[in-house]
Amino acid sequence: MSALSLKGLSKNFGPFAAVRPTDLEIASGEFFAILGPSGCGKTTLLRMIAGYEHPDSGKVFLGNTDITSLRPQERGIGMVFQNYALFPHMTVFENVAFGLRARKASAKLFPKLSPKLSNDAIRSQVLAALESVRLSEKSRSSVPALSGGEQQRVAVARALVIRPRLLLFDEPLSNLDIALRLQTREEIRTLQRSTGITTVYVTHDQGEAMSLADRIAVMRAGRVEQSGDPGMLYNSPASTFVAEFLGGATLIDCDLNGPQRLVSWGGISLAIPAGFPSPEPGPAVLAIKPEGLSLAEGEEGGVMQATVRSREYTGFTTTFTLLAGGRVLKALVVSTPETGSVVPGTSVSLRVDWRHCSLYAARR
Amino acid sequence: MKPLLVLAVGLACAGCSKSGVTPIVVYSPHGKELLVSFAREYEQAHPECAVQWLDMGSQDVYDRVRTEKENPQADIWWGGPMTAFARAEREGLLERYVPSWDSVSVPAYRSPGRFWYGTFLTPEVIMYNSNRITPAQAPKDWDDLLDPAWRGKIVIRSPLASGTMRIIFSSIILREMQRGGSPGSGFEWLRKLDANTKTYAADPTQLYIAIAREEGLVTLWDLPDVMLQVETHHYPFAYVLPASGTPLITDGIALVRGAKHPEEAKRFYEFVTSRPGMTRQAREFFRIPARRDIPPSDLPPWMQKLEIRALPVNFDTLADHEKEWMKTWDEKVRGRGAASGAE
Amino acid sequence: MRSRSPATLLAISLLVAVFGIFVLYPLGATVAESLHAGGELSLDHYRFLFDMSNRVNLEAVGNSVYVSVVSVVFSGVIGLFLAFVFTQCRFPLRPLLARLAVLPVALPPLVGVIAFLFVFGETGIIPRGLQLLFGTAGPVLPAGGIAGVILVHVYSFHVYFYLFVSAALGTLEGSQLEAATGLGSGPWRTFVRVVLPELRPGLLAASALTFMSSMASFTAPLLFAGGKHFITLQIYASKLNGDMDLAAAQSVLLTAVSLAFYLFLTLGPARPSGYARKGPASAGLITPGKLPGRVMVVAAFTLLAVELLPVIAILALSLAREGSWTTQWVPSAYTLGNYTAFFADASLLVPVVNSLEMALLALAASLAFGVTAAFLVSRTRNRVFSTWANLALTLPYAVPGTVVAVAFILAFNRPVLPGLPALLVGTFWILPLAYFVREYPVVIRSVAASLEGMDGSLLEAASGLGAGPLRRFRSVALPALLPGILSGGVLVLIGSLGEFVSSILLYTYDSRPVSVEILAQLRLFNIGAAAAYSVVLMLIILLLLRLSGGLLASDRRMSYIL
Repeated sequence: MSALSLKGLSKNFGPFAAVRPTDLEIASGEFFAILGPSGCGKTTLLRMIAGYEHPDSGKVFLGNTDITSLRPQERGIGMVFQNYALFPHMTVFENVAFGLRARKASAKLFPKLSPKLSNDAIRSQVLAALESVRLSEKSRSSVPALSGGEQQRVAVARALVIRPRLLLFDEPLSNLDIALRLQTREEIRTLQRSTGITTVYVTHDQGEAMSLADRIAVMRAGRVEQSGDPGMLYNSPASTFVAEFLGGATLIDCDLNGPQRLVSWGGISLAIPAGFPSPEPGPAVLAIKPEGLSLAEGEEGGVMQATVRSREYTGFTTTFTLLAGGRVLKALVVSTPETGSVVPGTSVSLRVDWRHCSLYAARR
Repeated sequence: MKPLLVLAVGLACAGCSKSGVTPIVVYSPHGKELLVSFAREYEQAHPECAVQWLDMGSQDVYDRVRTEKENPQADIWWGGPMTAFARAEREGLLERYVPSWDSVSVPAYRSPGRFWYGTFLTPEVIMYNSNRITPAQAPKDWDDLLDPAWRGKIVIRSPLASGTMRIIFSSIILREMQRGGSPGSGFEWLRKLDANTKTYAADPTQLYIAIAREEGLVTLWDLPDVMLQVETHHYPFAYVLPASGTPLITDGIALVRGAKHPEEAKRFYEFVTSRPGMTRQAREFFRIPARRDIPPSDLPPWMQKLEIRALPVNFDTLADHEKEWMKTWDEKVRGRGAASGAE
Repeated sequence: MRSRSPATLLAISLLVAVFGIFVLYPLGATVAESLHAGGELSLDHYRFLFDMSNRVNLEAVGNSVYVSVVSVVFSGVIGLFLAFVFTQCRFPLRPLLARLAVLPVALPPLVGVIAFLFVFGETGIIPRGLQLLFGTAGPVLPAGGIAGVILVHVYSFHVYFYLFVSAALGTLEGSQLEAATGLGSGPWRTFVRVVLPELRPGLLAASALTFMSSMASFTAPLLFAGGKHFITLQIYASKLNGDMDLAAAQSVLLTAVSLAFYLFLTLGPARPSGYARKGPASAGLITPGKLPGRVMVVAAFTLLAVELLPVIAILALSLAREGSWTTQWVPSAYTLGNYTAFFADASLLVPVVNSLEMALLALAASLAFGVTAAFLVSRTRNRVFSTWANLALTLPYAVPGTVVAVAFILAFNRPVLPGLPALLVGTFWILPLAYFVREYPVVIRSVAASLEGMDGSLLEAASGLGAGPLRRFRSVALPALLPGILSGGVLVLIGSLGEFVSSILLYTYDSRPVSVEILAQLRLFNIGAAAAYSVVLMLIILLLLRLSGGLLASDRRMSYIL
């Protein structure tokens, strides 16, 4: 049974279709990422799960329960906001205790709905939650006095302490600097593993999604383009968009010659290996990830000629921007003394690794 | 939460009535000195009562009584020209009451239906600053005020809110009508006066300040108030009774219809219009009694000697037209005299 | 839409009922009255207003508009100048002086006008003093008539420009000016090309506000206008003359003009951006060491002195013995009698207590209504709806006090609903209610400004953590809105305590407020007593400002609320 199922969920803002009818099944304990560029509808989808947006159509099930018409405070879902949404006038402790106290207050009215908590219980649970994000010492601090990373962790503790059935993250790392982002990413993953709470994580950063998630849904223009585990998405992108967005592939409009199994553009022709999945002959799009191109030794060792336009050296790897058949391509190679000697303007011969390529029928 | 509760309770009580004594609410233009004096005396005689007076222009009194028609606040309306009372009577704002001294009242000075009675006779005068103008230099009659020599030296109480000024202006229109046949010549006269007028003062005080401080030197006003200002504030004011005659205003008193405290109001009515009361008003506040039964020997010497030439004014005609005339004055005369003079 | 909680529905219906009864109904009654003549449906009054043969009303509107336009120009120049000197120059006592510069906004209108009269009026201290000094025949440079009205307006309203411009300059990034200078631009070019565009929205907003306030101004024309017609005075005169329906038509005309400017103010140019930018605030457009800078600082000090004079004069006059100030340039004898009288006769304090009581009532109602309304409106995500809802709710902001009073008289001199004894004219309650209607918009504006600055996800986070609407409001929204509520509340108190324009038409004996008492004392020629009451009123207001933690010191907040 799925922990969370979305059935035909959709949302329009006026004439703009933010989320088109969408189905998703998320398994219990799963870490699920929704990945897409800004404006693709991923945050709207998340907010419908949390109850902050009411869907125009479709239903949200938490386990077997239809929660579509429940208000956010009745759903028992924890959420970490992009800007953390910490209450600035409360201390760290009070922020984390807020959810438990709200529950305690409603327990007076609806004793069956929520367990009654004593003040001591609240205290120990809050401290435990702070402990889990390594912030026990800061419980008396005021929110504005914390660093960005600490605020982020308070937000996580606040969401966790109510023992949510589902944990939602809305771009939680986008306000952190790169080093902190990598560290926090790891902490979130560890925390999720140890608590086993089903998690939905929205991000526009494919590295974050790949490294964190058990499964990813890639969204574009209000629609899920493809979902699956990171390896599957990376290796078999179902669309040019997924290939480009997830794999950073270069898209080349080309012509697919059926009988000879050749793709050609701008005077360049490449032979398609046997068994490589390809669409009907005719106009096509070839997606090549940067790691699918490498420099051949000598002038003629590769399958196509290109001119180096620029070189970006990042230490272990070097990225070349190349011009081949009138198209700009990227090649990502491991740095060697040889790559260091290739200067802009040089003519090189390129090898193609077809495992990093995919072919699609041209968009009409 | 507790302070909030206390605040809420406190606020709820704020609107409650404040005293155990019976209030009598008096609307009057007679001024603080007279009102305080009679309120004190009355409260001493009747400790269970509190006289609450509001001093305002007599037209303000009329406007207020009319505005509060559905929920009258005033018990008694004391003072203001009879024209205002006549209008209020027609609009059903007054309560009929026949005072104990009805037999000594003068028919011309009371409402035929007994809704109001005259208390004082108030002659209108030309008032001037006696520091700057000698009696010889002072204007002798209304028409003298139109002399260009007075241009920029006249300050007038803004007439719309002032019963006194409404009567003076309307009387002049009536007088000119008798001379020239139409109100138009009256407005022409007022336009010339406007040309000489430096400014219109918002209330009597602004008027007194302006004359006392020599912003203007001459104005049109009523005799008791001039004398009261001289007496109490030692202002350098003097007056002239216009040679051709002056409108003699009957100041009235009436009960307000639907008043909350009618019995107390009647008692106060009788108190201030009693013979001793009127005599005291004459001596201390320069009010000329309208009752016939006060012997001249009880009156102050200046009042005994006073020779007033009353301008023959048909107050019924005046009451009929006053509203319309004042509106016309405001629209066509006020501030336009200088322009018309240049034409 | 999802169903709303019962608490929300209850709040909404209460809001709608209060708004309907106390705002829409009186204004509707005014419009209805204006369309009747002699009991019949008729356009006569409007025909009369626009009657070309009898142009008095058009002339009154013309005078009001003329005075308003000139007031805007002069207020703008002076406000802009002061704001520049106070944000761009460094000199001793700057923070204190900057606070003094906004003093006129805290001065009750009646007190301001009277003080101004005593200082700059024809026989005021300054013209008489100059007369004495130069030995001229008459007072020197007396203010009166139209010029007097304009001067009073400039005195009171230049603060709007000061506040808005200071706020905008506060958000101007210092590096922008440095960049402009670095690119070779001189101070003048920097001002015109870089600074002025930044100030444009603030200047436009201040202009609209000044124009509205000038159009609605009643006290200044009442005491200064002399023979000139003004539209607010026409309303008053019509009412005095017993032409309530004409007064209603004139009210509709005035409100229409005012409303047009309010629409422009709200829907037009954006306010100075609320977020401070990174980097140091700008400073140094003017260098005080150099001669032009020095001249500007001296000029600003002179303006400040002029600004303070009326306040000092009121203080001095409250110590004057009655009758000791006729042709002298200052009173000749002094006494503490006007103050000791308060202790000798407690009944003299009744108007002060009345004003405090009514202001507190108006405050309680304004806070309850304003905070709830602003909060509820802010929750709708429909921007168009919330803009218009806020506009409708703050409608009374654009209704001049004279019109509020006329509308209340027309609406509430009979029972609101047949059968209900809820008659208000002539009762104690009508004044607090009028204050409420006049002042609550400032709470909405103030709270709405705070809400705009508040992070909406805070409320979402709270609801996600299980908090219901009441708890969300109490523990999350309220603390975040507190500064806005506080400043709105203080402004309500200040406005109600000194309110005069509606009071003079609506007060009863039991509810006579300080402002009416001041006028009554003036009418009775007790200048000292009137001044003493004014001083008491000013002291209360200053105390409130002090308690509110320097509301006036925050130009950005003020520029948002006003």
